[in-house]
Amino acid sequence: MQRKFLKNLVFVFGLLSLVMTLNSCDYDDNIAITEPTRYTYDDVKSYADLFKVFWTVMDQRYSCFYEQKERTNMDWDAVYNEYYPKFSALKTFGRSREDNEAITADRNKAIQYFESIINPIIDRHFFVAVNLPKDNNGTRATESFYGGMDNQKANVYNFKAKLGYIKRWLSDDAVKQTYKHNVKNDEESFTYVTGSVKNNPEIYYLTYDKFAVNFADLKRYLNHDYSLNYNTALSVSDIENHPVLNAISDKKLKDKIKELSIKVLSQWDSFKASAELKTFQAEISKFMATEEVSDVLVQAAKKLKSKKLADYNNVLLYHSVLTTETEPYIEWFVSRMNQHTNKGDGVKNVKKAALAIIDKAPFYQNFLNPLHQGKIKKLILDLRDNGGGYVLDFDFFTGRFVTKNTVWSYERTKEGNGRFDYTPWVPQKTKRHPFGIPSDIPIAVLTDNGSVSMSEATTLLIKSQGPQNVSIGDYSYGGLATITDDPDDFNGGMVGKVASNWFYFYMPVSAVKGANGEIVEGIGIKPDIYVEPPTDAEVDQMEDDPDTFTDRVMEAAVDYLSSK
Amino acid sequence: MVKKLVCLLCICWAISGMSIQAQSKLKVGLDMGYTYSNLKANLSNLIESKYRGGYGFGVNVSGEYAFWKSLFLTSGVSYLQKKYTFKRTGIYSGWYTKYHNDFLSVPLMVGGYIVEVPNGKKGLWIKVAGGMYGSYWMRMKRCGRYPALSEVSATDYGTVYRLVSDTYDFKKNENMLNRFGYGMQGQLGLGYSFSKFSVYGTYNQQYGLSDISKSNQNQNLKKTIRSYMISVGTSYRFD
Repeated sequence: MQRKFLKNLVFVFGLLSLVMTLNSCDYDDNIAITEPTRYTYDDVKSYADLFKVFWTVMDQRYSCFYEQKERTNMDWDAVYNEYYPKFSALKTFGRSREDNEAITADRNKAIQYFESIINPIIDRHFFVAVNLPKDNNGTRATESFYGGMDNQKANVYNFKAKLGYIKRWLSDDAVKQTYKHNVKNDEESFTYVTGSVKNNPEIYYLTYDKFAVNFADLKRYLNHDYSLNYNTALSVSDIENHPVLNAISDKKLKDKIKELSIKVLSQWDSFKASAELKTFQAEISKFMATEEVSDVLVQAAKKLKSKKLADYNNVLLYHSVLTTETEPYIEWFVSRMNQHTNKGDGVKNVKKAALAIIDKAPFYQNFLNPLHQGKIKKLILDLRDNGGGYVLDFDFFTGRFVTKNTVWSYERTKEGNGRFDYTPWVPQKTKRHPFGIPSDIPIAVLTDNGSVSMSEATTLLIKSQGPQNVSIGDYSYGGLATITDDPDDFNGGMVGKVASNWFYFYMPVSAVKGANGEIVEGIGIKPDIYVEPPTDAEVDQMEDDPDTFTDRVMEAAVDYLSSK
Repeated sequence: MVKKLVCLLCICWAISGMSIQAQSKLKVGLDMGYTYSNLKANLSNLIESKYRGGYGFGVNVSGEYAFWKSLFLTSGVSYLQKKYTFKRTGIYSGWYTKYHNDFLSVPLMVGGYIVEVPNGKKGLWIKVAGGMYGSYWMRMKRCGRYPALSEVSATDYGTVYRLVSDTYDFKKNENMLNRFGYGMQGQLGLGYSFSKFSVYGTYNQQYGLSDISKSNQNQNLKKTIRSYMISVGTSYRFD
């Protein structure tokens, strides 16, 4: 009896241990799922394959299916059930034996199907370019599809056209500037117009073409140690006593090359000791502490820019003294100068910093500094036809309009593999810039159907600061979600080619809603003061006869701010 | 699914009714212990992403009706915490979601005693049971850490992370979760009988069969919860 009991006990505990061990193991996945970047050219051999890849990439990566369901009642499985048979029915695919007329007919049907599927997509950043067969020689041509592609677009205040007439609204001291600079290693041009409004100088105006305001390059140069780094000093006596120099048989040549070497060294040494550099350094220190660009700083930068320094690395400098006999000495000299000046990087950065200061000074002196000093009492921020840009500008620029820490939006991304596997909504908070407005001022943000992405985010952020800030004009475009380059950053979104070059996807990683929970994707931000978009006639007049054009949105903004 | 749960509850009530009619064959028990759960999901296409299991708490109230010799039918109600974590790893580490789920579970199992103690006697008993369970997802709390996408530093491009917690709104149900679920359940019990009362320990394994997502039609993307519970408790046998 006891033996039987013990046997049972051992059996039960063995079973228990087995079950627990199995349960603690990670489960193996059943069938590997193909991620978008792993599809190859050969995965697409027919229209049915083409559709299947498109449908699957969307299924895995699109971040707004819930909003899509709520807004347009889209059922992605129903899309598959409806369109897979339709695409399967297209029997041609640009094969050599196929008839060109049939290929064109199928291509047109495919375009129509893709358009029907993609037009209801609410994400206004989203687009997909599809390569479709054109003939039986293997020619293919790309067709692009995007959300709302069949919708009628409202007219916008084209930025270039605006530059033609806006000067009439502004005082004579208004500034228009375009410059190029690096933002995140991309060269960007940035154009802005700023100045006080002629009829009411208390109101200030700023418009710019894109969010590439961030002066990261300026900070980079200024944060760099711009002093000359003489870690291994070279002296005149080192040159005079160098045996390779003294071994040169031609005395005249020897004296000439010695003189040149000492001149180059002295020029670099005198640059380091120059009053201009010292003034520039002192003014830069003040700038770093206050962000105020003084005239003294700009003058110091201009003087530094004009200072000439011999490029000792350039062989042309030595053309009059370069012989086989002098070459070893010149090599030694270049090498020692590189050590002496730390490859000249210090000077290069000083020069770059000087150039950056000269470039950016007008924007600081005419907008950023007066804004921080409280000299701008009322502001029109004209974001019409501003298609957005770098999210970095939140930190560098938009934060300057913040006085309160508020939540201005919520954003979420995909998490797991399911179509609706989302993270919680993550609050996006405002961050006050240390050199922003000292206290609340009324701000009128001008929007139209060309205000997209960062323009819309900036509008929401500024409106989150209080009722003194309003948006005026037409509804914005409604494209707020974030784009990232790396498809693996989040488990949604896709930017890049899929299946070799059958597709190019441009799909955001997130969905965004406003601070009050409103989804503006595909709808746009409702303006506080709605002004009808320009008519076709007004658009023509804006471009052809800017001197007589009446900007109704500007009128509304000036009226609003004049009443404040 | 509501129908399925109501059906299961009816079965439980029926069993209770039978038990009252034949109380000598009825045993009721209360036990509590810890749970370990994980979400089974195919993440093979998602780089550096995984679900990890987590520990929680559970309570079982059970009734057992002996219907033939050593065989019995058992049911009851369990409150089970099922916790797991979604995590990005490797170079993408930094954001995660911790899921804290509360479930109400109703098992219905048939079992038998491997070692049995006769009525009124003291001694060790061992039982095994297997069957199905139905469950209701009472609450899902999430807390996690996520990048605040708009708050990138302009100077060093550094990402700002934000801690977020919420209680999932099943009414709105943005993630299209299925509140009702079912699966298989197995049980192993070991106890010591002091005449009417017993103290015991049990191991319960739940193997989820239903997809936690309402919308998924792809078997390869099915997500199910698997969990076990180890508990100790006491039971009373009616004469």
